[in-house]
Amino acid sequence: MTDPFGLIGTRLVQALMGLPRDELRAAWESRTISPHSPGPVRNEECVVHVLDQPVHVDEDRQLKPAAFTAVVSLGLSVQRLAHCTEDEVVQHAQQRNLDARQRQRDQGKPDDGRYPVALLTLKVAELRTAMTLEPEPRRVMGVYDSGLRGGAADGAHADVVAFKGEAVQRRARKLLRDQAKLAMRWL
Amino acid sequence: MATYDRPTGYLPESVARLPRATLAVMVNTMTQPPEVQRAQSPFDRVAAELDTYLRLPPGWDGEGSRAPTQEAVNKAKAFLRTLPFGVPPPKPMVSANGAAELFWDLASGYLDVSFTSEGDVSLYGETSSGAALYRDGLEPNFRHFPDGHTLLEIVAPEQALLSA
Repeated sequence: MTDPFGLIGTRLVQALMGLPRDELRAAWESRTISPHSPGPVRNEECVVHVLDQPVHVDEDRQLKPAAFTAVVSLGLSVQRLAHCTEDEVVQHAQQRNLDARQRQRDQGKPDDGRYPVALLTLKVAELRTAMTLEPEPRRVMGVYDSGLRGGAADGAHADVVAFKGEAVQRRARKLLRDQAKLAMRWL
Repeated sequence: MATYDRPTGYLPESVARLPRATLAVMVNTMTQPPEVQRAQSPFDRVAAELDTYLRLPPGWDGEGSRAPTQEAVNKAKAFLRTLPFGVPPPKPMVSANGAAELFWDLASGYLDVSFTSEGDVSLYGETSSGAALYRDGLEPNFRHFPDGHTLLEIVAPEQALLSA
């Protein structure tokens, strides 16, 4: 995986948070920020997120909002179904998990308990139209193309990032949970 | 909890063939850590699950993620003891940034309370009519929270009616 523009993951989030206005953060959604990307994420697309930490599922098999905290700090990694299949995403996640477990064993680190638990489908249009009304109407999050070098699932990578402000960010992860639980496939 | 992914080799084949997520929840329920199993009341079980978060290894939820500190968990448990009579037990959760959290997601609204590893306490709530509220710099005591009546309307609407 490469990061030629320095704007993947935490650096993308930091760059977005450094912008003074939501309009500028929103404008970045129409840019291509990676040479490995097939192009900006369109509103009519669907994206999927692989939930890989079972601690975020309660005993009633309900998702917890904390599962989406990455939307604040790292960017929530998703794959664009317009550019890869669900099967490719799942296989990619399973392979990544196997690689991570091997690394943990090699380095003598404790098992982090992660494995692909569920595939969550999110509609880009709903993410981009999510609003908070108080104290004034504002968008809550953006979806940014951030394709990575590699296979289909890498190239189809995108990030969901909450806009600035604690209340906005807490609303973002709740809305993500509300939307994800409607289209969730256990793996 | 970090205990969902238990070995399942001792299970009957018919059970072991269930979808992994179903199995994970079943196995975890059967083999929850002793402190969670021993917990008597729903509130004790919440507190016990908060304790299990302390054992999460570094990187448990991806790059840079960390377990909550003892202080964060203690504050969350202290907060539990301040809930007024009639308030149902919240669900515990843990964030990659090391916050121990509690939340209610009810027909009457949504409320989450976050206890960060830096000692900060904050809340985010949404009423059933869609009004949102966020407060930070709080003490871990429900009875001292601002907008107490609104919060009670979210987590225990019957109690809010009685106290009106």
